[in-house]
Amino acid sequence: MEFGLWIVTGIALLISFCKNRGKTIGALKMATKRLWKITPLFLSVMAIFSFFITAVQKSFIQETIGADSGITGLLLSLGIGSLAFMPGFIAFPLCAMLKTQGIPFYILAGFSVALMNVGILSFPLQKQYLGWKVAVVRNVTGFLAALLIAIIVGIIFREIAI
Amino acid sequence: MKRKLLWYFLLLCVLLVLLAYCFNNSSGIASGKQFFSIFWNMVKILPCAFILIALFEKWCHRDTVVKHLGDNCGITGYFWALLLGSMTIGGLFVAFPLAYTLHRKGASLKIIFSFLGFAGVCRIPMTLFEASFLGVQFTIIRLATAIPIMLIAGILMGKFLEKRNYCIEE
Repeated sequence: MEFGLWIVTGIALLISFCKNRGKTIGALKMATKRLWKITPLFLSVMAIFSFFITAVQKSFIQETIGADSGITGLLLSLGIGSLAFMPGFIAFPLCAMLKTQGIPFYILAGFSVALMNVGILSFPLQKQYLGWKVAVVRNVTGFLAALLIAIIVGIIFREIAI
Repeated sequence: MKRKLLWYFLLLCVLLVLLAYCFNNSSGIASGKQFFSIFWNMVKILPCAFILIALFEKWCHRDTVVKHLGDNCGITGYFWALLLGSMTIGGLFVAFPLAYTLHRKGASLKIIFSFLGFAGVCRIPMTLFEASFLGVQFTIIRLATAIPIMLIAGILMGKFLEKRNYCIEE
């Protein structure tokens, strides 16, 4: 999979470079700057994660959000996703780390979609723009959508038996 | 300041792992090994994800899309709302002011709420990141489910609120 990603990136860079050198170099500079900026945060998350994974028994993680965690695991991932406030560039790598520990896709889908669509912590901001009634409706729909998406992902990846 | 603190934290972690190696502490060594296996996986993906996002931002401007949204944009309005939602960078902090602008330009509430929904589920930078880390298959399945759901939710909310003469605050 990573191999394909490098090929796609290479082709995109090549096309962009042929069309406009300045823009491409600018993009590369922007990418390096941003990557460097998040490196400490990123490494820290990885360090805490590796410590956590080795300190906590594997069976505990499997029971809470693993393949056999059932509805509680799904609701837990949705709940954490709704409450947490983290940028996607931390969330998706974290999902990928969890995937290597055998956490099913539907749990990751529930977490990531809830993270993007439900913002309990950003509620004041939403309220300011939308009024509190509409903000509540929007968050509830976001939560239901996350639940539905998680279930469909689970069914398609054959992680949830129907 | 905060970044400096993180570097110190990392230095501490490195020292701890080194100590674990010196005293042959098995769980410390396991943590260190775990870290390097994750680190290697991330190094294979992260640069590509950042380069793709930067290229996208350099080449796509959302102003051209905003032009297409306004009075009587009809069914194609949803298509532009999807495009605009996927081009929104920076999440809600950018999406809400943009929704307000669209509202003033005369776009219907149905389109605005669809846009807000799309801005949550299919921002291209985030999607690129997601596909890089969780695989293209996962992303396609998620988008294929999320887009219709957000569209329906947006239309229903817009319809309901239009009846009540709802206005978005600045």
